[in-house]
Amino acid sequence: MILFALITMVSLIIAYMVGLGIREELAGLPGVPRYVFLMLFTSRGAVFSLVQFVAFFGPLIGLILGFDMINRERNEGTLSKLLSQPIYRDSVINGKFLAGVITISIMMISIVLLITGLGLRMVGVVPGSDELWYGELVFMSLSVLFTSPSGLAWPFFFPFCFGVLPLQL
Amino acid sequence: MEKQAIIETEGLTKIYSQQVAVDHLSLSVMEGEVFGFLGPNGAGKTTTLLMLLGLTEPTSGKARVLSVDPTREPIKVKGMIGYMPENMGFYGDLNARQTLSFVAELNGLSRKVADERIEIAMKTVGLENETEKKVGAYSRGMRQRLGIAELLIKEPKVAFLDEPTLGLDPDATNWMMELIEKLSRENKMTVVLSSHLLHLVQRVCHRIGIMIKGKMVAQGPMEQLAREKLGVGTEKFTGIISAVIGL
Repeated sequence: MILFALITMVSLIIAYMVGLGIREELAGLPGVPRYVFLMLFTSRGAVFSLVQFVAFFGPLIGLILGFDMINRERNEGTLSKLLSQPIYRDSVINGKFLAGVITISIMMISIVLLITGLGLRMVGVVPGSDELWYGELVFMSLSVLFTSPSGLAWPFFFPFCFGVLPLQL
Repeated sequence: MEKQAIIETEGLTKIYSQQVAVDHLSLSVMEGEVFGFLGPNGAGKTTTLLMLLGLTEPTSGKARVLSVDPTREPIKVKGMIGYMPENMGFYGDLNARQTLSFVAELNGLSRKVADERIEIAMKTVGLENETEKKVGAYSRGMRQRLGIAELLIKEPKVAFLDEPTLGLDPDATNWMMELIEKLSRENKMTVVLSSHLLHLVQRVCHRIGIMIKGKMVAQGPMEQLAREKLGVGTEKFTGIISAVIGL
């Protein structure tokens, strides 16, 4: 919970700083260059960009959500009761995984939407449809995939996400 | 007691990496009886219950519960058996009603049926005034009662109770024993319970099985065991057994 709040806060701060920077840059230019809006996500604020930030802290959240979701049930003694009910073991595991994915999706989507709103207001540039499509949607879905709480999946997505995201944007 | 066997095992064996937990166990529990597993800690009581539930696979041997093989069709068996584990936990931030409706949902009961059963179950275990309280704030005795209520939601034909009186004070223990008797008498439930306390088992169980180191040493009604095995009365038998298995 605290971690979620922290990540949202830091993301917003980064976006705000980047937004201020972009506004200054734009003031000195005659026209609006392409993909300005996406720079909100990719250019550096004080220390790192939003993409880097998510790439770093996203998996952390995934791990925290994921690593003890079954173990906790076991330690608290609820697992044996749960498994003695007439349900498949698969559904227990799938349900756990799905819950993690949904939590992370909600977090990522709300952060991206918040920043979009903030950016619209600060930069005064309306993002084009291709920016929305390629940039934000790809960013959101990759982040969700990347962050999803699967001990096996995240090392797989790590290079993928790191490599592809900055190129794409 | 001329009824058909509801649980039957034949040469049931479980080996945990070199250590034999249950050794060629042959057991039969009749319909409607209260059967007590008696034995010291680590005698394989819990493992036996787990195998009968299909939660662990036996290394060898066969088991039949309500004429279903729990190894092959665990879901079917789990739907018919209520299991109360030894150290059970609850989701602390749910209240009793939510806890029970979760169990009802897992068993595919409709909301209407579930509400009725929750009502009855809470009354049976005497928690009807605590339904809205968070389970995290429950005392040990109340949690144990809630465990029984959870089991009653399923309306199982057979109930497995693993050390149902563990950590309870004498009053609560008495209450638990009376409840087990009542369930057996009124709901016609077959109860299999495990305990290391002889006097409890003696009080409610129609038949007992004594397990030591994974082996079933003796099985039958208390008096018969006393007479046949040792040729003594029940009281003396109690003393001897207690001494032998070190309880």
